Amino acid sequence: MFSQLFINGLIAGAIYALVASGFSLIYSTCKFIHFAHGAVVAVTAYILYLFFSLLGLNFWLAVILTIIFAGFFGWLINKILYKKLRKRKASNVILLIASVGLLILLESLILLFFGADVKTIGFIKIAKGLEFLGAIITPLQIVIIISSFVLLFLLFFFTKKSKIGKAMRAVADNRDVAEIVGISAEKMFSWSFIIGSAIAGIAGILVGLEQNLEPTMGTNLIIKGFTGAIIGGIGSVPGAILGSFLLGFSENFGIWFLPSGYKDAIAFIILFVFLLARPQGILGRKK
Amino acid sequence: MNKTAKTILWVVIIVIVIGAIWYGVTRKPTTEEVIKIGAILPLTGKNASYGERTQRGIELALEEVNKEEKIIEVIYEDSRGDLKEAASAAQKLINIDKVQVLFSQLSGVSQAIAPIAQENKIILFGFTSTPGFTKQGDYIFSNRGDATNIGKRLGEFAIEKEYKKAAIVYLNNETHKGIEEGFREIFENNDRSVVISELHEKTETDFRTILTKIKAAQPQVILFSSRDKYVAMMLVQARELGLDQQVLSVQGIDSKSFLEIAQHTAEGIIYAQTIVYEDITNPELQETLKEHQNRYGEPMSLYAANSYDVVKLLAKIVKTGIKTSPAIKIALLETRDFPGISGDITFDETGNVHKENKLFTVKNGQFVPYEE
Repeated sequence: MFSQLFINGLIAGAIYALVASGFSLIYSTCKFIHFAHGAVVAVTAYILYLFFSLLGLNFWLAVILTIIFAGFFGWLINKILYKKLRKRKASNVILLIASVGLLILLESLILLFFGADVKTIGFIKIAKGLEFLGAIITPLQIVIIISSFVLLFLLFFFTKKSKIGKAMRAVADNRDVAEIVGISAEKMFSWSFIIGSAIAGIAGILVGLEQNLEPTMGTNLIIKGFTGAIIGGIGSVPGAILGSFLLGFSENFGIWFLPSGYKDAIAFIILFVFLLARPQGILGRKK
Repeated sequence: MNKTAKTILWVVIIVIVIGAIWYGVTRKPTTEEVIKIGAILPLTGKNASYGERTQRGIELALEEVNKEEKIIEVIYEDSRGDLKEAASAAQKLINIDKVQVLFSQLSGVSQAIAPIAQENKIILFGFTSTPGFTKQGDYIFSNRGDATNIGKRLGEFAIEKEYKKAAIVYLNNETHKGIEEGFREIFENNDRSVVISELHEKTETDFRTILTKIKAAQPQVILFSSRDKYVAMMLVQARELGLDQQVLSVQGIDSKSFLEIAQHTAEGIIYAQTIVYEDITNPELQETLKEHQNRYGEPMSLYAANSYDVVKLLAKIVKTGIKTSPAIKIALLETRDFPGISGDITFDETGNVHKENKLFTVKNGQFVPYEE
């Protein structure tokens, strides 16, 4: 049973990590909590549903279009909402409230356009999973786990090696100094939204295939993604991914011993323990 | 603007506001012939799909009963599944819209509205099967029966099939707890055991570890007592994990999205509910079933049938000239065998119904009565 629980934790952690990594990337550059990230995941899942199930496009073409759309959508959110607010010198609290408002707005729009019923993308046929060291896992779940690991490495190299990544870190570290040496902070904010939201697009596609689509799916996802990001160290992308896996494991091993109703309680107890004992998270730096 | 002008402006504004409030409060209802029903349904949020189904039933019934002249008006309020929201909607409907009857859906919301309706002597039809719901007052009605009976019916079936060990996963609310208790009572009183019973919350989409625990307990039959989408997700994940036991389930899973999520894993699931498609010989009701299928592209669900039946029953009472809540209450209690799609309606003294739960299954992607 241990291996099955391990796999269950890994699947749950990978899903949280997919949400947390984009969220944490945006936080690390822009320094505010973009709760609407959850809704971006939900919107992209519905966009895939629109392209693939309703318009009947080729699945892979639909996937690529969805990821491009997600990046564009993130850019648009930053441009028409957050940028305007920043221009008016809005505080981070106002940006946070705006992001919660946006989360609710986007969920309502999904409800309006697609209805309240659970939607299925229907690309994958349901079948018994593959046996793997005594545990059972479906091919899609393997893809989800691999994707989150690949993302972990890509994001790590992106922030450490690429020009935009370095500039983003510079803005994250000290915006004024970065601007003095000629890095446009606004440009970096845009880039962090484009990349962060494109990752949300990947998350939306994989979660949509695994768990089906619901207008309110974004809220649930961002709550767990946010918790994972806090545990791992908000502002540290590798930390967010690590924290998400820790969360996935503790929930699934926890409810093996406790009644399953305690699942969310376990998640929040861990959150509190970290907030009290190590507020900077696993990989976060102490200020 | 100088100070005097400002003061005058304020006085004018206050007079207008007071005048408007006075007009609004004292205004006589213009359409006295029409009886108003307030329907507090989850129209947005997590449970919106259930509210939608109930609304379809109401709309179909309204079209029929208002064909010649308008006798019933339904005012919808969105509860979003939220208790506070629902309670203030109930106050508004009773005090401002002056409704004579309230409808509510979801166990928690219905429980929250019941005392308000009872206090104001307004009839409340709860589309819920929460055990003991109608015992809260003489104005509280339900036409869905008591959830415990669904559990008992499934328990009897499991005993007939000679299953010795059962596992249960149920949604954490009063109704599904009632079903769990009903099943457990019958099953365990017959020298069998429920080897594991786990609850799940409404935010859950990942049932893998619950199912892993069930797998380790090795039951012969599994009861998923929850709402359609959760049952479908549990079914899919159970089959993916290689659990191949017979699965039992409950009323309300008869939806298009259940079949879409569960795909072929839905085949052979057995569930208990009170709808009576196959017994309906009444041509008018058959027409309604057809109309629902044409308009919404799916067979009429239990939720739609429940609300449809209640509106039709109320219309019959209103047509006799009864228009106030206390009089309607008496007429409801006197009702005997009113033909409905979700079974004939006769209320007991608490305002609940005792309909027979029948077994259904899914065969070739269709919900059909279960046969041995």
